[in-house]
Amino acid sequence: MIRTETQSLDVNKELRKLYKKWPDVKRFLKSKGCNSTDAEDIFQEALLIFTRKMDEPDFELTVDSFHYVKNTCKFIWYNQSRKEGKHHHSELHDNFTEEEDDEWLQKELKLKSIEDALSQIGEQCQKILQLFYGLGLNMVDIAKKVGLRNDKVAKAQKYRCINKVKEIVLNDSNNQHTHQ
Amino acid sequence: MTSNVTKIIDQYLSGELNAEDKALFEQKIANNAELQEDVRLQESINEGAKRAVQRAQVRKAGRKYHYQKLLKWSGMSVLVVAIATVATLYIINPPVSDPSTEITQVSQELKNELQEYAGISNLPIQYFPIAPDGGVVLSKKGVMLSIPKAAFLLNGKPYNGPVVVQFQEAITASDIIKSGLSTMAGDHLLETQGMFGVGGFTPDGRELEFNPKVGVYIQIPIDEYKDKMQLFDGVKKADGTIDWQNPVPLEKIPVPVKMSKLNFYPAGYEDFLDSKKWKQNKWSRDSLYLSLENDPEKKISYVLPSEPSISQIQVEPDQITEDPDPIPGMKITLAERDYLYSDNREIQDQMTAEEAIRLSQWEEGPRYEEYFKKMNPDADPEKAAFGSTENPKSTPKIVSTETTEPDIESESNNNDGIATASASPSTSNAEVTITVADSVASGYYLAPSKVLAFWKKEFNNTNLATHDFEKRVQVIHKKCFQANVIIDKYTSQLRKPMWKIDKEVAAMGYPEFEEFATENIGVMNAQNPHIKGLQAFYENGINKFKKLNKTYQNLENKRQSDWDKDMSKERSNEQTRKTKRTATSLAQESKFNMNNIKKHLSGKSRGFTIRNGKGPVMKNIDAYVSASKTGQKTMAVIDPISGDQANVKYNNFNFEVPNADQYLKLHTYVFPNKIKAFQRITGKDGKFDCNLNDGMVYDIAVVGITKDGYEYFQKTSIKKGSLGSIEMKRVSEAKLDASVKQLNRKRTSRPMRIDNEMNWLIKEHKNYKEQKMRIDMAIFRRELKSKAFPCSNSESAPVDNDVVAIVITPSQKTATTVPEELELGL
Repeated sequence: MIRTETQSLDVNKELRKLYKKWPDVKRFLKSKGCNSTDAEDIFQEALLIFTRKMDEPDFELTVDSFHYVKNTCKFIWYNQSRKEGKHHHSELHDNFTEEEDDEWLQKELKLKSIEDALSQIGEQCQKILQLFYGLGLNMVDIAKKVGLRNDKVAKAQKYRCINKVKEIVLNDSNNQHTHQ
Repeated sequence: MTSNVTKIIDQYLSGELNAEDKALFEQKIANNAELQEDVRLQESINEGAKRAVQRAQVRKAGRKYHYQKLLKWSGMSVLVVAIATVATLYIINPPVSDPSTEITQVSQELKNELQEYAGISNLPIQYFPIAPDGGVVLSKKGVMLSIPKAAFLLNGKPYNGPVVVQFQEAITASDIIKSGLSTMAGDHLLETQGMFGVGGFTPDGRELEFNPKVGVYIQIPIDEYKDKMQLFDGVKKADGTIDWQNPVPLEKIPVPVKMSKLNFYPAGYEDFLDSKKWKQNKWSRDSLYLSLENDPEKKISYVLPSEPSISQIQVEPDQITEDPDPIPGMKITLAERDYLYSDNREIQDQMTAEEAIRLSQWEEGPRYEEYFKKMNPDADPEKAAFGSTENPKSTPKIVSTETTEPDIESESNNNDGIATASASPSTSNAEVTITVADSVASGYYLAPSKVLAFWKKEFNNTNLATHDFEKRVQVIHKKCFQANVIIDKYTSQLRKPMWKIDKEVAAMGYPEFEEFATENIGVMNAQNPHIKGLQAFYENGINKFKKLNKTYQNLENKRQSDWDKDMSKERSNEQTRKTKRTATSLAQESKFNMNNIKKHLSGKSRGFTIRNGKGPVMKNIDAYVSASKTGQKTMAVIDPISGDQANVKYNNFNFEVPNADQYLKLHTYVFPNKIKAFQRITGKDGKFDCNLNDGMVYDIAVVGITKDGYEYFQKTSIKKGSLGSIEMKRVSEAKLDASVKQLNRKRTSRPMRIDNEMNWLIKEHKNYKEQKMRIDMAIFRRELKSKAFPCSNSESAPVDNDVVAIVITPSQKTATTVPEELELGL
């Protein structure tokens, strides 16, 4: 899944446009009892989900992009506060009609935990994985960028990196299981 | 979990497995839940990695948003950032004016097409797209290429479209070896600082020619500039090697120096000032330098104390024509000789009066005015204004050489109080006239205003702020006639390489500049956008300096003229006072004497006549007394009828002031106690000798004016005798004033008041200082000019002026001493 430069430019442009609405979103989330720091995290998460959704080949945006982002924010906040067991704003869920969407969103939130695990590995590892899976560079170029001798070495390193992440993720889920 | 499983899953997910392996692996997954889980995890890790990249994108958008918001809060920052950005962009990407013709990239096809043109094989080729307006680019190795508008020709005509510049460089030794370049010029081995190939093409691949009128400027970073470094043309030989031919010396980039560290004064200017311990600061020296511009001819006439022994030359204006004597200080120049004589004869240093006269008739001649003024001092209104009117002695008519005693007839005039100023010349002095001819007024030197106008920090980082230019200015200073034209060449062409200007100047007939041209100094900062503004700034600067100088000159001229008028008035008043005073004194003393006589000849006051007398008796007696008084001789008046005798007795009184020549003026004031008058006596060489009336007691005060102030001596109750040598004491102006006033307390009528007299004396002292200052200044400036403006001395100068002529017109000592005795009047 390699994005071309033009797509990337479009995405960046769209993101900047949406970010200008941040004060609206902040006001909205605050009115729902969310603090500023959490609010921006939620907003960024929503933007990320929007970006990824745009990347899906068969995704068609039926509503205004800002409306979509705002709804996503609402959902994430609902989800988060439900988890924390503090808030029960049933009306939050009212507008979220599509069951499907919900499922997809849940998947995204799960991916977020993988992202957390990724951030725990070494910097070189992070870079290799991001360049390969995120930007779709070939291993020859990646080897050069991270300062490894050649693509073979880089490839072996990549597997090692994946292993590390897997370990972390499995460890975490084991811990959660034992706690529960 | 093994690394191997991870590897296979990854290869499966990345689509790296071949069809067979893939089918096999999918089969395995289908039957293995754990493996399924593993694949899903790795899939989400891949997705997570991608997500991390996307998250970074979101965060970037966030940072950008917050950053811009921050900038909005502080408007100034926006400006600074904006400028900084523009400046950076300007350097990296030269401005492109017409976006429609802009080429931002050179296509691969074009590159392929142009490759065959490259001058040096085996060397990487760089391409730079250049907009029609030109631009500056940097190569990978830091070579700067400045391509101005129309730097190339297409089919022999200037090409104004966009250009693709092809560039190859081999700067380091390894580049050169790698490219297989030779460093041979014929059979000579070259020491190279770099080789490069450059060419221009249109965007559609047509080859362009360099425009010889514009050219492409290339600047190469070199480790060390070697004098003999030259630019060679590469010529490909049959075997493919390159021979380097037609060496041309490299243009040197001038090294910028701060204007404050440079010195553009003429050689000798500062040395001279230093030798005089003149003020050091630049402002003062600049002002002085500026003041030399168009410094008008100054004529200074002043009466300075002179040696009495000076030969007595009285020159009547109309005598000059017959006077074969050389005129002191006048020299004949070559041009003047050509006018006077056609035979190229040897000429005398000194000009004769006859020659001077003939030259004065030479209307086209260089010094017509000056000769005329020198020979007709009285016809010179300027000189008259400089205060010679109060010195009528300078007209020789009134001089009588032998008279030691006044002639009675003339003195009787004084009794009537009809004295004229012309009868009383004052001092035993010589008149010194200093004429400073301004040989530099007419442009035989580099105008200070032109120098000062560019000697400013605004011209930093231009060709002018370099030691190279400093060196040229030193030579230009010596170029007399053409100095101003030459300097303009440099100041008006700041974008031109200096060597080109050197050549232009050399072509004007100054071979030294040919030598400068071989130094091959280039141009600094030709792209500097301020140069156009600097040109106007310079012109304004010159005018401002000229105006300033004119203002200063006018102010000083006005001050001097006011001073002289004031002084002249003061002297004229003094003259009137003295005349009146003399008359009054005479009248009072006559009356005193007559009363004395009457007392002696008591009662017999009627009906007698004096021998060979005429008219009424009283008048006759009066006349005798006058005579005796003016002659200051003891005499007896005898009544012709009764035979009684009345005596009018005078006793000699004298003293001497030592070192009299140190005084600018030395006067003795005599205050008789019986009459309300006082007299001023001027002695001779410090010797004062007078006759005092036996019937009176006198107080005397001696006042001497020195360069530094006043000296004073006083003695009361004197009747006769000699005081010998008296001792003068230094006193302050106030003390002098007080002492004299004390002696003078009885005298209150206007001509008799000594206040006026004191004021005049004080003024005289100040005037001495003023005139001294003028003369010193004139001499100082003359010397300074001769140092700073060498053309005023140089043989090559068309006008070989003697700068100063000192004309001394001494008065005859008799002419001055005699009237003083008249004045004594006791």
